[in-house]
Amino acid sequence: MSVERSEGDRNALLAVHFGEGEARTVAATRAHLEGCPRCQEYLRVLSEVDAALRAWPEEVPPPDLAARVLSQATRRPQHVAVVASVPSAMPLVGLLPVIAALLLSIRELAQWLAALPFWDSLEEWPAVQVAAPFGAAALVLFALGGLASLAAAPALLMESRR
Amino acid sequence: MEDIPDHALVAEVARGDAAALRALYLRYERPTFNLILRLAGNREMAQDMMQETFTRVWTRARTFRGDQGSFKGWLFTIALNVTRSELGRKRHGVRHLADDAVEHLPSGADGPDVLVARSEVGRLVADALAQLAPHLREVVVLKVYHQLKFREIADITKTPEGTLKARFHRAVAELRERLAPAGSRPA
Repeated sequence: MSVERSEGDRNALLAVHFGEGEARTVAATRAHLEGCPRCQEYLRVLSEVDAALRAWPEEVPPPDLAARVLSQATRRPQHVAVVASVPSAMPLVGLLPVIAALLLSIRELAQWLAALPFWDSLEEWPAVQVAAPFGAAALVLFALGGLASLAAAPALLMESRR
Repeated sequence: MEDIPDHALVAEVARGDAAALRALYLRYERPTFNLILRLAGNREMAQDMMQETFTRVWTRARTFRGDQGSFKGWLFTIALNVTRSELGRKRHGVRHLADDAVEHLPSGADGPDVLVARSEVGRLVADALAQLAPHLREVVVLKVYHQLKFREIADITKTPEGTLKARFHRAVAELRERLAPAGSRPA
């Protein structure tokens, strides 16, 4: 006889077999069982497999296992509790000289750009008016940084694959 | 220490109290050993995994949250994770129950004939369990041998109850084939 059942039916039979689930559902399933040979068959299979598995009795651990496990375990250092802390500002303090140097470089470059003979004609461009010498200098530095990254990319790629 | 509840003992373990760990170990040695043994199928490996399991209890006791579940559930989750990772790492698979396991099966007052027959049945069951996929074996072992509710197994395995039940049905179908006596196997 086939024991193929729908998932809901079979789960209800699990509830009956293991005595797990709402009393009302279990009672309804028990009532259904009386007139359903297929469900009776599946419940029988469940009982048989369960009983067969229990034929492997609980085993006794080796008598010396406790001593071995406990002596080894307590030799290891315990993890300390992780305490949530306010993020440290120290990395930013370390970056301050770098930021200052960058700003100084941008200012120097801006002054140099403003002194160029064709700067007056460039100032007629709306983009330059918005950017002004300081912004333009920042853009130039940004572009130079991008070019340097592109130049270094192949070497970095080779390094990462090593 | 027998009367001290689990969560109080874990708190002591977290403070570095080895005696509290010993008390917890003695309380849960047998169920944990049998859980691991039935998942790993090998006594030698089970002993190594017990070592790793209780080492993690010792080192991670501070991470136990009593308001989020029982110590037993936490311990079983650790044992399950240790078993999964060790079996995966060693690519050992589950070996058949070692011959030496037979002598450790409780004998009670049975005579030699009964003992031999019981050993054979035990080995047959161990072999049938060993042939199940690990995720099927887990739910069967926790349900049948440890009588946990599906909700508790869901907490331990971090798997939805519906999935666990579907796995249990699949395991039953496979075990039925393997455990049925030769003459009574379904067509």
